[in-house]
Amino acid sequence: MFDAALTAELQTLRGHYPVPKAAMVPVLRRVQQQLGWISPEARDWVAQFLSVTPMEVHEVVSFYPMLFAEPVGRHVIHVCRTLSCDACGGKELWQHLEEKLGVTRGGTTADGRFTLKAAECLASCGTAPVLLLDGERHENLKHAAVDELLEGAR
Amino acid sequence: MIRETKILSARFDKPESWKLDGFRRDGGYETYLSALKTRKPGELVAEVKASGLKGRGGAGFSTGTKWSFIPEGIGKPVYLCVNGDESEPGTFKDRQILERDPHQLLEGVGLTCYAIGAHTAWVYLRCEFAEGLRKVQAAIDEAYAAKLFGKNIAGSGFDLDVHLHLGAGAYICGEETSLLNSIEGLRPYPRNKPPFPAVEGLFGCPTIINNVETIANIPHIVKRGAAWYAGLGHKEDPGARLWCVSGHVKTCGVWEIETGFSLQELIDSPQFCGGIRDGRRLKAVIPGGSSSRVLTADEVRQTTMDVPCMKRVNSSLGSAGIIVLDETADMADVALNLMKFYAHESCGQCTPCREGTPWVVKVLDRIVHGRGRLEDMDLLLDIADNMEGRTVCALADGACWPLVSIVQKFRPEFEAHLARAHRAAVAGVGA
Amino acid sequence: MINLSINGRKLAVKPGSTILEAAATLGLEIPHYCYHPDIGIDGNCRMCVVQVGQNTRKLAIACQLPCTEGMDVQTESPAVVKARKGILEFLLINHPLDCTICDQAGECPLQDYAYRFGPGDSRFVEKKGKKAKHVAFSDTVMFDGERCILCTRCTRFFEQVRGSRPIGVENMGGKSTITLGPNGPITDPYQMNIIDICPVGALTSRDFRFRQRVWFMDFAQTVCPGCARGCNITAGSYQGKLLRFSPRRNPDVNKSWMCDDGRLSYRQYNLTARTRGATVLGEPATQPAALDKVRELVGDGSGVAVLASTRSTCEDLFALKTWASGAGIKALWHGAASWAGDDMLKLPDATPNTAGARELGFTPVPDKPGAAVGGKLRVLVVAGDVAVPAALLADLDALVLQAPVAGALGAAAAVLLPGRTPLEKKGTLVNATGQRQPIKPALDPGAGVPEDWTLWRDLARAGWPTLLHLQAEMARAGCAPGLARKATVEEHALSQRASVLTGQP
Repeated sequence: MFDAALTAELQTLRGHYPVPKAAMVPVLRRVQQQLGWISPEARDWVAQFLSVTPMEVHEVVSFYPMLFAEPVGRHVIHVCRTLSCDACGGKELWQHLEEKLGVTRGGTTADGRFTLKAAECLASCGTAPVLLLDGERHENLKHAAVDELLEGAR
Repeated sequence: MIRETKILSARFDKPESWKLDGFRRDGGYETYLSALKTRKPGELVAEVKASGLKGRGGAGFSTGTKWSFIPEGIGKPVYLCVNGDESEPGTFKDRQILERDPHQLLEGVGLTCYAIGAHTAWVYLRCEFAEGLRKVQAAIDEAYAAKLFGKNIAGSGFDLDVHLHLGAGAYICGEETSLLNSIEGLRPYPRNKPPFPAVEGLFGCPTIINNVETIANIPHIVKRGAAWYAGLGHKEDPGARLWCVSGHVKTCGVWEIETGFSLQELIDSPQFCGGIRDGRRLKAVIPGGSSSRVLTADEVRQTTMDVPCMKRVNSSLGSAGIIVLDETADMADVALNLMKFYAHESCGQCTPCREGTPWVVKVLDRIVHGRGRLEDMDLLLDIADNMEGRTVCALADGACWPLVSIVQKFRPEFEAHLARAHRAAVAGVGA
Repeated sequence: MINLSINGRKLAVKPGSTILEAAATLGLEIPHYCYHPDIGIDGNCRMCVVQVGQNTRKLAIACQLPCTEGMDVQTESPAVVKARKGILEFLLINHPLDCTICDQAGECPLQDYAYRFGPGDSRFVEKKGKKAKHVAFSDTVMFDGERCILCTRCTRFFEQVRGSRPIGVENMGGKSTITLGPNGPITDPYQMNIIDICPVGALTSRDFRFRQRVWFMDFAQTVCPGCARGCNITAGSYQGKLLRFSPRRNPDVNKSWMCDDGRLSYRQYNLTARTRGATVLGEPATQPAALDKVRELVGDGSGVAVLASTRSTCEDLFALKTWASGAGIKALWHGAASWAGDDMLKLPDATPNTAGARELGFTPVPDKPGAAVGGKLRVLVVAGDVAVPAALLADLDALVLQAPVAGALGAAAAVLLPGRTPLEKKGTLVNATGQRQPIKPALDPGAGVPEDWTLWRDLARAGWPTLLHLQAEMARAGCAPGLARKATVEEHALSQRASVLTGQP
């Protein structure tokens, strides 16, 4: 399912552990980096790769907020909703993004470009409000900065 | 007089502080290499115990004591897991170490593994720390290349492998037994104890789980000695810690300060937070990350940041995530925001937390949106009473502490919402 | 031994015992859900909280905490009573108000504990969480996500007892639920056991769905007649028709389990057509007349063989043998039936009392049946529900057929006698591992179907007025009947007895 380089990378990851199953989350995150989400095919591939049942992979994927069992947009935005961000511009940031993108939390824009999700505390409370764009942290976000950020994400 | 210290944070602002060459130029890894040759593991455990170092993840358990729980002659490998899952709301200090001085952490890992007899360590980082992951992985690669990790390190006969491991967005994985299940590839439910991880942990083997900041202290303690560390800060709660401040202050940030300083001074001092923003008045402070009891403005005035004082004011230092709230904060809404956090992050394994945390959210939501009833106040306290101390892990406790303390100390704010609801009901209009 | 006290009572237990197990030795039931003696400990429901020492801030869970020397446990302190009430309240707040339509009602540990320990009125005025309802996990098992309390007995049963993962837990927190996930319907031949172990109506039998309320049903403690394993069961019936089998716990035979084939085999014992009264040469006859005809056909016993069913009880077979030996019949054969066995309980011998028959001297049908009776098989006496090999019928002068259902052979039988199914019998069965187990009738066959052993007694003109007399004779002859295995005090305390209303064991 993956090219030789990625497969080798996943094999190295798997080799760090005394049992293959322990490579579950690192392998899934790497696979998700490649495919955007964990499709049923990816799930079954990972199951075989780790010598576990597809059910065990499904149980793990469905648990973690940062593993996506559904397709997502080309870019995933995670906006922090927890206290410090909420108290320091987070409410306004949400409103701005929901209006600008025309989606509610969890939704994907009609053109498939952005998926907007809520995240809990991203450990950057001092530079609130904070969001992740494709996993990279952006902080101290005034609306203009957010707009610029999204412009650059094609 | 509140003063910054530069022990853990000494190298944070240096150019390319995360790289090996700069770290070594500043004396990095010398303590580690020297200890491998000249110190016994048991000595290091005793040294850390005598230093009085406590865990910096939130629970504050004596680090050296935890290390001493590893049983002798058990015939299984010993493991170290570094807890870098920093997810406690208000906390962003571990990330500083990961991004700005990862080799300090890795030297601590090396020393800790040597002390406890571990030859494999996993550094567990939350996946949201993209920059931290890159920097720590690069640092691990540099350490291997410099033969600081691997086989027969510096001819000492000590072998050590250090691997990065990822989380995937769940706060519960910061709970040490959940972290173990997360590494094992299981649904990361916390485990019932006993057995304790030091006896039966990762893959059934003796395991120590320590927070990033805790481990970062080890090279300093080993180098300068337990007496030096025990002399820092408060007599009964020694050390210097990284303190995070966020919320309604002029300047948010992370500062390294010895224990025992005045919380009010930290907030007001122009060298630190510079007072409340926009000339407003302080209303409340959550001192130890969200899983700690809130302090009123009056209580803040009497609070010094050390364990004995926290006991007196019935709160905790927790993860040193100080959240400052001014008069514009609606404390009922604050409670709702935090309880949504706990309900979202509940793993769902055990009954009281799985059912109780969403129930609390539903009640608070009604109150905040003008559909509360007077009996909801006692109901909230009783739900909390039925959750606290009744669960597999402390997530439910962490939810109850802010909930109960906010309800008890800011009751008038809730009653204002209830009055609004009552007026609406009397007027026959929906709220 | 570890010495501790529970509610002020001192006791000593084996090292490694949990508080729950220790309490059970006193006959003290600590209410619990997720623990199961044949699946193990999970510690998630928190129902079994107890107070250890003076610590009311943090309560321990009895199912998991090992007893330590000098431990002081309280199961009824104010903190425990309140916590238990709290746990039940938490379980009930999102639980749907399905009792009126839920099959579990009347044998539901959630109802029972809520009644005994629960908060009474509800304080929950919010909208309940919604989850998937009536999801078919297979042809036989129905799942309801809203009723589920996530005790995980079901997933752990498959993982630990069956070594498989047909179902799992998906999502997190309050959205957690049991799922088929990427799998198709469950195909495991033991899957229906999850219906019994589910403490609520989340997993129910599709076969039993909406058929009857358990408090109207009659229950008999008996043994599954499906194979030589002898799984202990409870047979539930209503107005003379069996509605279901469920396993009864026997740690020495079947633990808490039975196979689905055995469980669903109850259907075949609801006979629609059967032999009532006797028939001689195709005409109805009185029983005495029919027995006289049998004596006439048997004559001095030469050239006669008896083919006994291994679905008969030891008592039936002892009476049969007593008559046959007295009548000069030397060939005492038993029949056989087989099906595919499996890796757990189901044995290829599809009858429950082969061992009992062999003990009493019955042998398998020989290769040359004629030779075995000294030349030619003249008369064959078929006793019970048994398949008759064609070789035995080839050159027969006369066939005596005693069975519940005459079937294809009925027309050829010189004498037809009635018979009872194992679900209509009282007596003893011996399973493949030599365990003697009593059975009790779940059904009454009605008029014209006497107990099988009485037919052979009357043929032999023997002096056993009641079954007890027969059993006493058997004991004198060295073939002791089975004694009912009494559940231990511990097992009673751990059994989550169904409501007093149903009187189910």
